[in-house]
Amino acid sequence: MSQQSKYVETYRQETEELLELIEESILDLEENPEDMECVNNIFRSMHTIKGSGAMFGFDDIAEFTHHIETALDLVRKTILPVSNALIDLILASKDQIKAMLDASCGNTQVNAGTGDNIVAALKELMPENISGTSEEGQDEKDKDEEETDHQHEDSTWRIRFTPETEIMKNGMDPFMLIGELVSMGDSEICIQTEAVPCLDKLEPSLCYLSWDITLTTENSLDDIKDVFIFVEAGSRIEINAIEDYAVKNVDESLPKLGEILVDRGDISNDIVNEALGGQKKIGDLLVESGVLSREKIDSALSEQKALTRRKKQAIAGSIRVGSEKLDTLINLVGELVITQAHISQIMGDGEHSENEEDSEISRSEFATPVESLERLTRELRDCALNMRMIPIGTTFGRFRRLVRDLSAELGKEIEMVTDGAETELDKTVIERLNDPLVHLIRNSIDHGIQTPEQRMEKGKPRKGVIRLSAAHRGANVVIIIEDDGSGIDPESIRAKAIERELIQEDSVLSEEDLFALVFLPGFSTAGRVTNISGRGVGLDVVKREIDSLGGSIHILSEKDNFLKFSLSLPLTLAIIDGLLVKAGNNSFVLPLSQVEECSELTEDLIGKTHGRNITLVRGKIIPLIRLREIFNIPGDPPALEHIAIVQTETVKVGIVLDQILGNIQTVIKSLDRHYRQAEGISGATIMGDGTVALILDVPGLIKCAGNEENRQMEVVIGANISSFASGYK
Amino acid sequence: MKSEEENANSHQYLTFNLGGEIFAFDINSIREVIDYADITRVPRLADHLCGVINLRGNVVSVMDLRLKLGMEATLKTEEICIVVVEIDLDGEMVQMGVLADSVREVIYLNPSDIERPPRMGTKLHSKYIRGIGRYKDDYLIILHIDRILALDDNPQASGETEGESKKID
Repeated sequence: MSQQSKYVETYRQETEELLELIEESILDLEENPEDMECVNNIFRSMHTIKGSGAMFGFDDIAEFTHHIETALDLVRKTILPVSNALIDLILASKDQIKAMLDASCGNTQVNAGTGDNIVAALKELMPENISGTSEEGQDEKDKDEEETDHQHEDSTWRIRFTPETEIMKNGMDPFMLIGELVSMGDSEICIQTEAVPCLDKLEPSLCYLSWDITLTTENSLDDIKDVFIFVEAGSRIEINAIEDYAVKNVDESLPKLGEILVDRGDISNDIVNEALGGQKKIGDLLVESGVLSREKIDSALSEQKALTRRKKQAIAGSIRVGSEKLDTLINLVGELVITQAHISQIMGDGEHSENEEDSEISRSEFATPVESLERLTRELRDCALNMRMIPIGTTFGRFRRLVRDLSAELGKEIEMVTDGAETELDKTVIERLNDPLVHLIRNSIDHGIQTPEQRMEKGKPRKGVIRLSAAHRGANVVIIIEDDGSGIDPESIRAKAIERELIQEDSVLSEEDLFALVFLPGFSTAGRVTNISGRGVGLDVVKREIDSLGGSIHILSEKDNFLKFSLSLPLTLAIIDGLLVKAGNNSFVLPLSQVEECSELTEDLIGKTHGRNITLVRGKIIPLIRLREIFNIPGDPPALEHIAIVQTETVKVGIVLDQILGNIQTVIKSLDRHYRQAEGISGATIMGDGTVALILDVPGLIKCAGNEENRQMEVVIGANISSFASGYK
Repeated sequence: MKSEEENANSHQYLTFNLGGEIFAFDINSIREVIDYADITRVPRLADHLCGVINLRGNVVSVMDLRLKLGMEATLKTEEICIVVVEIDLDGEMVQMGVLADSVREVIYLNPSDIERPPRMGTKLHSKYIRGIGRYKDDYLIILHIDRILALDDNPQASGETEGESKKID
């Protein structure tokens, strides 16, 4: 059972991928209606969905997909033109298949009516003569195919199917395939049992049987081959055509000739090559008897060869690995990194050990392998992490559909331009990025870009552009969503913020600060609420999600010109390079990507601070955050403190620490829910010696320090007021 | 002891000392008991959230049960240990450590030996108590581990507590 469900799961995954592919292709097709390669891609994907769907018991999907396939086939034969209606229908059917797939997990209900409507609409699109002459899609397609391929209503095929012995282990049921053949038309099936061994040697899980099937059907050779599409690789499949006329002759007047032919095939059938030879002989026979022309046999054979070649090409140079296996690998690599750090630490400690003489020899001996180990570990880490990296383009593809559908719904003309689709990000980051990006793009479509008329009035081109780009920047990936729509006006944000009492009327805020206000919960400058956006729920959710990914988000905008969201995200969530620092007895890790420089907080500098938490570094005033103060670390600071200068998106801050110990590779372990709310801490990591060090969340720390200062000032002011009041009494 | 084991209805509990009193947890939620390890304090949080430890490569958070139950903070002694429990935290199975002064034994209790917590007199939040067990002329308090380790309703308020100096450092 578990075996079975495993295949079902594989089918589900594959189908989801195929559906994505279909969507991609259909959107391409919309742009280039002449591109037959797109049609072929869609057709192939649909066909695979149908074929394997029937095989794994997704009969509803198979049946539904069949209708789409029929329509697509007509497009392929340029009988049916590529129209907007058709594209809409195919997109809708893609959604329907997805819904059916989801429903099969038992989570949701699928609306069968939608599917019926799609099928009905598709039928309407089909040219009269085709939809009129036959009732079922199957017939339409076959008829059509035969008209072009064979010029005959029925043809008879001799099929010899010798499955690989392992076939049942692969989850294929030969009877299912044969059942499918039988359903195509009249058939005679003859089972070949000579390969079955004696009972004591019989392996029940293997398949020793082969079948000879004589099938008279309207379906084309391709249709028959398609039945075997999933077993083609290991099994021997011979399909030979016998012309109607010949079959009639064989059946009626010379009933034994067919058997002789089959027998002859058996004898010379030990190897595939010989099978091909055997095939030719049958062909020769047929030619000799004047039933078939040489060309027909040759073309059939070359078709078969071409198909085999195509199949071989389709086997891509990649393998499918379950993501849980990758996660395990990442975890193990994480452990290895920790152990490696421990070894390095021991080696480092050894250098300062007192009994220098004892350890001298062993240390120098170990130095080289330990260094190689360090290098290898780092490479292994990068390699393992790299495996989880997927290009962000997969997500971008999804948005094309979103833009298309929404702009149509709102009567806007919007083009989406993507850039840097090949930029790679950790799979988990990409997955969690999807919702925020959807929010932002919806926002741009709904509020950003105006209707064509409004745009013309403003002297802009009718068609709005949404630009989605991704690029690596240091250890981060920056994703930018930009639209050339109405932008947002900092002043209207200010007005709204004052109205909502989020800021004081006289507060001085930079443009950037004003833009940052839109990320507050319940803040929306949109005048109206639509079902797409405008409730002000989107942006704060976006911000929260980006924050939880360890990233940041910023807005840049000019009224009537553009609106640009830029998201900066870490490449991976699993392992980061950090700077190990100490304050009191506690170790902390600063993400190295954020550290700009380290310096000492000399007495001279302290003297210049005048008790305030600011200092001058290279002529620039930088606020200081004293880790000991903010974290209430007991004890006195050492005489010489250090500053790690960190750069966030917006500010540069110096963090005052006791000691800076050096670089460390950290495997990030998230804290549980109790500790996740800790301010200024983004996670924890395990150090070489087994202790836990906390990873500092720099933006959180800055925010926290700011709040702390405000609170203290309030206390001071409050105290002043009360003393003043008491003095007045 | 044997006769109690044979009773099908009896249930196992792990008993431990906390400020001179005996408390118990249902054994089903207990993963293991480990020696006291260095706890890394997480700053700016409520006092009873005393930090995190490394449990074979996993970062597990630890709670000072005495503080949570309104007693004095746990003192660092030889016998102190960490009871690692597994609980359902809002649908997420998490392991957490709980500080105990010392672990006593695993005992069997029949449901008939367990009474509902009295409305008053325990000086404890009654929602934290699952029942009072009678055992050898004495009583012990069976704690509701899921509720004790559940997320605080108002984390902000507890985070504000002043004077976060810890006995364990």
